[in-house]
Amino acid sequence: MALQSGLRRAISGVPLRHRSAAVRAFPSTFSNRHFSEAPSEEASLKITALCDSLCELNVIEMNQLVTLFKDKVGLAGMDMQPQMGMPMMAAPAAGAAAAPAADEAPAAEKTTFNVKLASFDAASKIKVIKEIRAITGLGLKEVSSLFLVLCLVNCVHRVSSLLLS
Amino acid sequence: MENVPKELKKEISKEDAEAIVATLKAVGGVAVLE
Repeated sequence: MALQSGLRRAISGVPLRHRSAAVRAFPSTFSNRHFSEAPSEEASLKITALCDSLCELNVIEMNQLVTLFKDKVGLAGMDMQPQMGMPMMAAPAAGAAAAPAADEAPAAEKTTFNVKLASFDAASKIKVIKEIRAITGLGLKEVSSLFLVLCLVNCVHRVSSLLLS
Repeated sequence: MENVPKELKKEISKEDAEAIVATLKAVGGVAVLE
């Protein structure tokens, strides 16, 4: 019950247009009485089973899930802080991220860098997607997947943070 | 999840990377260098 309450509190800060994915993922938690725009279609058995499994996790297991999920999607090592009230991941300052590497190997200075998307302002999502597509040449589906992963990781992190607080 | 890009750009110069970060910042995104 604490987890379901935490999920509801976590999603309350999410813009309406982003809620439908969470509502589909956790139908028993986000019933129509909470969000009138909840989809009418039934969640698949796979999603229902996943939801049930998530609801059975305790705080420690939830934290392990966040860590494992971040490793899986290649977001390990990033700070997870809400940005501008949105449920996205906030980025550590570029200098702060580079500082540990500089301490470890001061002689070998980095000359090439990888750029990762850490978060985005939900109000500017379309603009950010267009810019990323222009920069990377990725398709809309790939960029949307990236955004969805950011949302999911942050949602799970927020739930675990709420449960810990 | 398999098609999710882990990086926007790989192994580019610092100048190019910072230009991308600035471009994304201008439209409301936050990108980091690794």
